[in-house]
Order: sequence, then structure tokens, then C-alpha cells
Amino acid sequence: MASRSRKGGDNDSHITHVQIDGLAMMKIIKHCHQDASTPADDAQGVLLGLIMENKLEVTNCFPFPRSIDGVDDDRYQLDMMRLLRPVNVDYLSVGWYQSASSGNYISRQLLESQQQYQESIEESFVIIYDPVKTAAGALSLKAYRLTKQAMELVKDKGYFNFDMLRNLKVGHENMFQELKVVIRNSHLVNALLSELSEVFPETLNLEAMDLGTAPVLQRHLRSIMDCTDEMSQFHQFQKQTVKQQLEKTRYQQRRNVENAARKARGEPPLPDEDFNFKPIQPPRDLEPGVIVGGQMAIYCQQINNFCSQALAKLFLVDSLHQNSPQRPLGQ
Amino acid sequence: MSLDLTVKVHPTVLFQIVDAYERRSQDKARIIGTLLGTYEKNGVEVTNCFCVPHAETQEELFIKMDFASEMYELHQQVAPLEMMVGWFATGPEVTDHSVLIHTYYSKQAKCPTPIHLTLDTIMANGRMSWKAYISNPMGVPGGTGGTMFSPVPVELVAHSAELVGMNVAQNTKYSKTKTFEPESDLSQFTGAVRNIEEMIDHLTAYVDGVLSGTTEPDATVGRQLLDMVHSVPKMSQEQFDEMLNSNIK
Repeated sequence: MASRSRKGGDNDSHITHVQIDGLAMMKIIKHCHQDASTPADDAQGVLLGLIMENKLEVTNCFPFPRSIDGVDDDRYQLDMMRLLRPVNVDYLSVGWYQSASSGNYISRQLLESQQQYQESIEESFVIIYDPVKTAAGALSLKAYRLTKQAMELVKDKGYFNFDMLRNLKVGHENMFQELKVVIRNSHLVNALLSELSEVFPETLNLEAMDLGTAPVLQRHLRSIMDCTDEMSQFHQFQKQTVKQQLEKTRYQQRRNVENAARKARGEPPLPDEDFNFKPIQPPRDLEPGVIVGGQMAIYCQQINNFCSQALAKLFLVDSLHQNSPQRPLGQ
Repeated sequence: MSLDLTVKVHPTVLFQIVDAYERRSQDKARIIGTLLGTYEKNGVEVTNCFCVPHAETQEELFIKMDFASEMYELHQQVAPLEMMVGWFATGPEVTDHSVLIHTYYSKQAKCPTPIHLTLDTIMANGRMSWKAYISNPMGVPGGTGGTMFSPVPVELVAHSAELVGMNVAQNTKYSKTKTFEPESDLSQFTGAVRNIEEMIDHLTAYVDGVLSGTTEPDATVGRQLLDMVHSVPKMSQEQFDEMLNSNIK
């Protein structure tokens, strides 16, 4: 079983899933919820673990302080990892995590950080944790890596432009590759969980039954509106190009008609010149096009998921109501 | 110091202790570490912890306190509100060395009453139990004083996201490989619905039993059932349909 060489950024590496220890998951949850008063979206931290043959194990994690002046990220990380060695915590960093409420995590910064991580550690990935969705009842923990094309795109650290996008054939659909997430607990932790289940009975997920649909939808729609605003520059460019194209074709046609008329009259045709068509500058940075597009796609998908659930809930409650006037309560 | 102190512990702390215990070096029988948290009226809330390497033999005890203070500083950078509130140890009981360690901590921690938490990872009674103690001086005035560890009630608290995380983690107990893949949203929802269905089945079985005289009727249960059934908001069919349709739109 020869292990494949990892050079060359081969994207279909043999990693099939990410295995997270219950401990790491609980620490991520705790960190992202701790400052409830400052719901900033940038709770970030490092994931520690091991790389096995076909899975990435995350055994521990630690949070990063928010980037305030005077806090040196690298030094913090080095210090923390140095201190974790005597207690036998895995010291190989396999990735990082970030909290993102309602799924708004795609940003230039994320791409750059992930690209840096993937440069140094081939298989590293980012875990996106959604605190809002989890508090509403469904654990939302997803692992992503950049695809090879996305890596190339971000590597230049410059502005995206059309050529790059076209050459690499990258669009917002194939920027990220999602990995399956599996949770694992050791036997002793399972024993602890059995104890805990007596304290916190494993009953219903009451929050999942919540019928309130309006606030969530409102939030999502507002985010989509913000994204559309950001894309406005790009849209304008598109509109202008299209208009210019139209004008060009129209001009061409008029030219042709005129030339035909002149030929009919026996005069020399007008020289074929293209006048006054300033090439329109594409927006320098096409980042909105790709990034915001991806972001909006995620929002739409979330809304879809959410709506299917909400409809199911509403129909359930509907049946409850249909029964009550007809049958006496309690059978 | 008031003895009606309650210690609230988050499950994350217990997870960390168990994990640190599993990773201990071969020669250690138990591990110790610092507890971080916040103080509130009549109680302490423990939200985080970290393990501190130490070495103990019958005669002597050695703790790396500089490690502890460095680690504490790093944690402060991330969570400035969390303070040192005590220390933990694994094992079923409080030992002699615990007194020494406790005095270390009461000098270090800028808190009046450090909490000592024990988690019984070796499961001496067949169960993993946790207890908290504070120390009280005891003795005859004028004679040799000593300290007594008096137990304090421990309560486990978790906020909703932690509960969700724990519920997901609970499922690893049932699989051979101790793994569990969190399902998609819709299937989590169907799982919750199935739970409710099961519970309704239980209830109807109980009610049937009472009606047919096989089960003893219990007044409190009956009253609760009545409350529950009445709590379905009474809306006429048309009102409900209207609401349903407008929501769908």
C-alpha cells in the first residue's frame, strides 16, 4: 500500500472524510458562543490532529485571540503549541475553524488564509461552524478545502480578472470541495456521555420544532440583498458591455446598409472604421463576481433547506388542528 | 465564606478532563489542572480548563506552576472574562497531596475560595462521578489546624448549542467504531419528529391502560396531560389554513 506522492497539489487526494473528536467539537461550540454580547463573526482557531491514510483526525483545538493590535498571531500559536506538548496533545495543526452565522463565510480573507494553510500543509481544511443554526437545533459543522483551481486563483494575491477566471475555469461552484464530517468519541468519553445523558435527558430537540419562520427568512433575505448590492459594480459592467455590444452591431448593420446603397449608386464604399467605441473597463477586481456569487448560492441553498423543514412542520401542526374539532380530545 | 455556594460546570470542561486523562504519560496515576470560569452571586460557573503537568510520589509533589501561569495568560488573551476559579484532579477521592495543591492554588488564584473538582475517571464505583469541594480550616483554636474539604453541590449547565452538540455526540455510543456522522438537516428533523411520535405512543398507551383499568391512574400525570392537550392553540380550521397559506407564500 504505497502512499501516493503528495507533490503537485493533486486535488483528488485520498482523503475521504474528516473525523472530529467530540472534545474538539465542544470546544469549537464553546468558543463561538462565549462572547454572546459581541456576536462578531470572526471567532477563529486552530485545529490540531493527525493525518491518517484516508481521513483527517481532529483531536483538539484552541481559539485564536481576536486580532487586536499588540497580539502577535504567530507567536500565540507557537506558544500555545509549545505548551500543549507536555500534556501530550497532538501538535500537528491540520486546519483551522471559523464561526459564520447563517452561513456568511465566503470572503477574500477566508480564501487567502485557507490558501496559506493549504500551501504549507497539503490536506488542511477549514471547518465552518454556524452558531445560529446550531442553537436552532441542527448541528452545523462543515469542512471545506479549496480546489486546485481555486488555489491557483488565489495564489497570485492580485485581483481576479477575466483571463484568470477563464483559464482556470473556476466559478463559484468549484471553489470549494466539501468533506464529510464524522464525530468520534473514545470509550471513556462515551462513559462520560452516559453519565451526562442522565443529567441532560436525550429527549427532543425542542428548538427544531419551532414554528417561527419569519425571522430566519428575514435574516437570510437581508443578507442576500446586501450581497446583491456588493455585486452592483459587476452588474453595471455587465450591463454596459451588453449595451456596447448592441450598439456595435447596430452600427455595423447601418454601415452595411449604407455601403450597399453606395455600391448601388456606384460610389466607393466608406472606409470601415470603428469609431468611438471606448473599450469599457471591466471592474478591476472581479472578486465580487465569484465570491459574492458563491455566498449568495449558499444563502439560497439554506433558505431552500429551511423552507422545506418549515413546510413540513406547518403541515404537521395542520393535521393536529384538523383532528381537534372533529374528535373529542384524548381519543 | 458562604457554604451555599453552587458550582455550575459546563460539559466541555468534563470532556477536556477526560481527554487529558487519556493522554497522560505512562507514569502518572492522575492528572491535575486549572479550572477557569466566572464568579456570580452565590456560585461559580466553570467554563474552561487546562491540564498542568505535575509529578507526585509518596513523599513529594512537583507542579509546573510557570506552565500554569503561561497557559493562563494565553487563555486570557482569548477570553478575558475567564478567571482562575480552582483546580481539578482525576480520581475517586481527595488525597493528602490535594491539600498542598489546594494551598498552591489559593495563593495563586486571585479568588477567595478556589474550587476543587474531582472527576472519577477510574470509575471506582462503576460510575464516573464528579464532585466539587471547597476547603475549610478546621481544628481546635490554639491547636494544630488543618483543612477539611467540604463538598459543594455541583450542577451541570449547558446552553442550547452545547446541548445540541452533546446530543449529536451521544450517538457515538451506539456504533461499533465509536463514530457518528451528523445527518443532514432534514433527517435531523425527522429524527426529532420520530421522537415525538414515540412519546405520543407512550402517552396513548398509558391513557388506554387507565381507561381499561389495567394501569393505576395518577392524578398529577392526568393533570399534566390535560394541560398539554389544552395548550394546542384553539384556532378554527379557516384561520389556521389562512395562516398556513400566508406562511407558505
